[in-house]
Amino acid sequence: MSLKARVKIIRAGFELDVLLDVDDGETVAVLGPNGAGKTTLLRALAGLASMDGRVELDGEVLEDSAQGLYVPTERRQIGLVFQDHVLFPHLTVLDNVAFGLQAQGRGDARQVARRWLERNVPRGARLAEEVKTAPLARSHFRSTHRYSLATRRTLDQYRENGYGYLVANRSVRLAYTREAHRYGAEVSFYRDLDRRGCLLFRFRPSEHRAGPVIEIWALDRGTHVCQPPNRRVPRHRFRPSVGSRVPPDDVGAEELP
Amino acid sequence: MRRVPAPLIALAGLGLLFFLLPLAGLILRAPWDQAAAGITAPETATALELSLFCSLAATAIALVLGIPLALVLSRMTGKPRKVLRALTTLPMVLPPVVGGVALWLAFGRRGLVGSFLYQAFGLQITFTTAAAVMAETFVAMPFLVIAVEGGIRSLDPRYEEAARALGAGGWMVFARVTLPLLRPAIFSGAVLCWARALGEFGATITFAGNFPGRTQTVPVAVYVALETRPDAAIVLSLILLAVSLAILVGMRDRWLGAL
Repeated sequence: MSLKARVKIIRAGFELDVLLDVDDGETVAVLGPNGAGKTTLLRALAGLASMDGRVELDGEVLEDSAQGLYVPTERRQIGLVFQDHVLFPHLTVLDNVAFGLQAQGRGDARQVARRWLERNVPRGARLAEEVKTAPLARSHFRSTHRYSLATRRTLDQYRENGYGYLVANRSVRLAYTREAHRYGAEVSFYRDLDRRGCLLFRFRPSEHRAGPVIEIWALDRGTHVCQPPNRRVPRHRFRPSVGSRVPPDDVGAEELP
Repeated sequence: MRRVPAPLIALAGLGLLFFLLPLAGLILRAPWDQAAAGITAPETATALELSLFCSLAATAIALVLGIPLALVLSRMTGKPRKVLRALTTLPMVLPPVVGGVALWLAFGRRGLVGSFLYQAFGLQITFTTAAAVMAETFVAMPFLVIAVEGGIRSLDPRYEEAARALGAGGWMVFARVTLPLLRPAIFSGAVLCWARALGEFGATITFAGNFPGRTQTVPVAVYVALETRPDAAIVLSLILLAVSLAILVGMRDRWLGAL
C-alpha cells in the first residue's frame, strides 16, 4: 500500500508544504519540534484539516484540491491514533472498543470487543463490571490501558477491510505494537523518538517480512527540511525494543472473517 | 469580603427588599387553610393539568427542533450566523404579547399560513390547545437553543473527529457521540425552556385565548381568577412559585453556566 501526497496548508503565521511519497512496505517517521506541523500533516491526510494539494492512497485519490475532490474522513482507509487518545468519556470501555467495528456495520461488534477485553485488559477486581456498565470517564482505567484501547479502536479498521493506513500522532508503544502484529503489520518501537514526539506512518505490509524500512523525515516550521543522509536508517540505531517479533498470545487473528 | 461603601449597601438592601416583599406577601397572605381545597378544586386541577401538558409538549417540540437548530448555528460562521442567532434569540427579548400577535398574524384564520390551513383543511389553530403549545414553544425554545449551542461550542471537536476517523458517518457521530456528550447542556436547556413555557402568559392569552380546559393555563387562570376568586389566584401563584424554587435549587450552578 503506497501513499503519495502533496499537502499545503497556509494559515496566519504558519505554512506547511510537504511532499510525501511512501512506498509499499515502508514506514516513515516524521520528527520535528513543537509547532512544526506534524499533527497538521496527519490531520490533513485523514481529511480533518482543509488543505491544498493531493492525497493518493494505493492509487485511489482521496483528495485533490485542484479538482475539488474530497473523500470524507469516515470513508478513507486511514486510521488515526490521536495524541491523547480521545477515547469517548461517555461510552463504556467495551463500547469504546466496539465503536470502530460498529461504524463498519459489524453486528457482532460488542461480542468481538468483549472477547478482546477479556483476554487483553489486565484483570482488576473492579474492571469486569466497569467494562460493561460505567462510562469511561468514571471508571478506573489507567492511562497505559487507555493507550491500548485507543489503538485497538483504530486498528479495527484493518480487521474489517483487510487493509488500511495508520497514522499515529505518537510514537508507538508496546501495547499498540502487540495489537498491530495481529493484523500483520510490522511496527517498531523507538525509544529515542518517543521523547521528541514523533509520528509514525504505517501501512499493512504483511508481504514485507524482511523488516521495515524506516525513513526519517525532519519537519520544521511546516517545511520538510531534510531527508537525513542516513535515509535508510539501520534499525539498531533506534533500538527497536519489540522489532518484528510476533507476541505469543496471538489472539484475535482467528476471529477474522 | 471586600468593603463595600455604606450607601451602596443600603441600596443593595433596598433592592433585595423589593424582591422579597412581594414573595413574602404571597406567602403571608396565602389562605393556607384553604390551600388544600384550592388545589383540588376542579378549575385549579384543570388549569394545572393543561399547563403541565402544554409546557411539556412545548419542551418536547423545542428539543426536536431546537437541538438541530443549535447544531446548525454552531457550525455556521461569520455574518449568516450572527443574523440567524439574532433571529433565534429574538423571542427572548420580544414582549410575549407581541409574540402572540405575530403568531396570530401567521397562524390565525386570516394569517399567512393559517388562511391556507383553514381553506385547505378547515383547520383552525387559534383558540385551541395546539395554539397554547405553539405560543409556549415560541417563547421558550430560544432558551434551549442558546444552552445547547453553548454546550456544542465548549465540546472538544476531536471527539467527533475521532468518531469520523473510526468510520462513523454523520448520523452515527451525532447519535453516539455529539448527543450523549451534550446531555448536561441539553438537560439544563430543557429545564430552563420548560420553566419558561410553564410561566408563559402574554403570547398564550393573545394567540390562544382564555378557554378553561382548552387554553387556560395556570398563569392565565391566575390573571382571570384574581378579579373573581383572589384566593384561588394566590394558591395557583404559590404552586408556580414552588415549581420555580424547586428548579432554582435543583439547577444551582448549572443555571447560569449553561447560558
